[in-house]
Amino acid sequence: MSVPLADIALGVLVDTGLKATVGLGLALVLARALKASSASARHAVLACGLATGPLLLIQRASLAAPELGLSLPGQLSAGLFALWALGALLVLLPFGRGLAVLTALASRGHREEGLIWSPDLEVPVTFARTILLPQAAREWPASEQRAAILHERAHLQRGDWWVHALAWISCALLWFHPLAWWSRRQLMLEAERAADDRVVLAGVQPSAYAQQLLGLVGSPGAGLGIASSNTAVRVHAILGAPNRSLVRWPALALSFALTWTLAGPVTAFAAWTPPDQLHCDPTGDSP
Amino acid sequence: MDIIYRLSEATVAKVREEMSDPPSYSTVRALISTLERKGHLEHTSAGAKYVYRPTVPRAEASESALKRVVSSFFQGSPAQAAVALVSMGELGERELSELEAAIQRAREEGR
Repeated sequence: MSVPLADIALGVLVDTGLKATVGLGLALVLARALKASSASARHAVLACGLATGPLLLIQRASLAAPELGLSLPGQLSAGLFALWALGALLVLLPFGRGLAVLTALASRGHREEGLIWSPDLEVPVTFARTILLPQAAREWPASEQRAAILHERAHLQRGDWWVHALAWISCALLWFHPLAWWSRRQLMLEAERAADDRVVLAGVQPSAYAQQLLGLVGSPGAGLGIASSNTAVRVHAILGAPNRSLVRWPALALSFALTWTLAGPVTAFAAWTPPDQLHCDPTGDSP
Repeated sequence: MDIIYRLSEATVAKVREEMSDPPSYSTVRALISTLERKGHLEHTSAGAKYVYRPTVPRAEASESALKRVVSSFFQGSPAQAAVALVSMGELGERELSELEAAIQRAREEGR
């Protein structure tokens, strides 16, 4: 007798969620251990951790093996799977809506030297390969305008938007997993700090830049990545980060190697076997 | 506050437009953020913009402010008034002051 698709899908999700804990937890611990390292390095580590969710899900789903299926009573599997799908959709909706708004703003804005100026914005925004700047920023002091553009260009050069889109997808798939949300929050902060590092390395005076950042506290949305909760961390980092290196590959390689070493053996077998399957018939038939 | 009361609601850019000798954009934004933190303004999102409006009608706000002043001066309790003024600040205000001080120190050290 074949295992219902909802049972298999739910089994894949539970399996992925449990195994993603290894990747996410490892990344968070490693990022913590790299406290004295650069924000770029920590960002790479956290990105690697968040990538494990979607990658594992693809890998497990491609197997679609009946033995991954759960044997839950009645329509419970179908109900739980529908709940997961609804949660994932609710997480993805704001992302889609934000993207649509930014695309519309970009299409209406005025293009100039690779930048798009929009009268409908309050703060600079970077998405995909586009930097959107508020029309009002033309009146900012030249030094503030330069710092803002440097910050947004840093996000563009680092490919942060793509990483954050991946993180968003990871959170949508694993919306029930607190480590996914925690990792994403840390990832966003480290991306801002890494972009700040590039601004300072480009020659902007740290105290002036920190003052500019402080003046933006409470401003809407993205832009310089302003959020009151992380501004203090960023201001202190701008004024005295121990390491502003932009090199990411060693941290990425270390993170990948550790994840592979520790999570690899775990992924070789099903992480969670339902109790009733421990004694099931080898044919896989369920009562 | 005068401008926002007059216009009923406004964005940061609009407030700045209405000023006769406007300071920098970031200064106006910081000022509006402070007013919001203190509960005088609230905002709604309109696309990527924030539109600010007063939390209480002008007449009510004026009355409230006057009552506080009268209470402070006519009941002879400047200490209580001082406590009330201090308590208007939030933890965020203290953090902001500390960050301002850190920036000032960095500036003095030439960073």
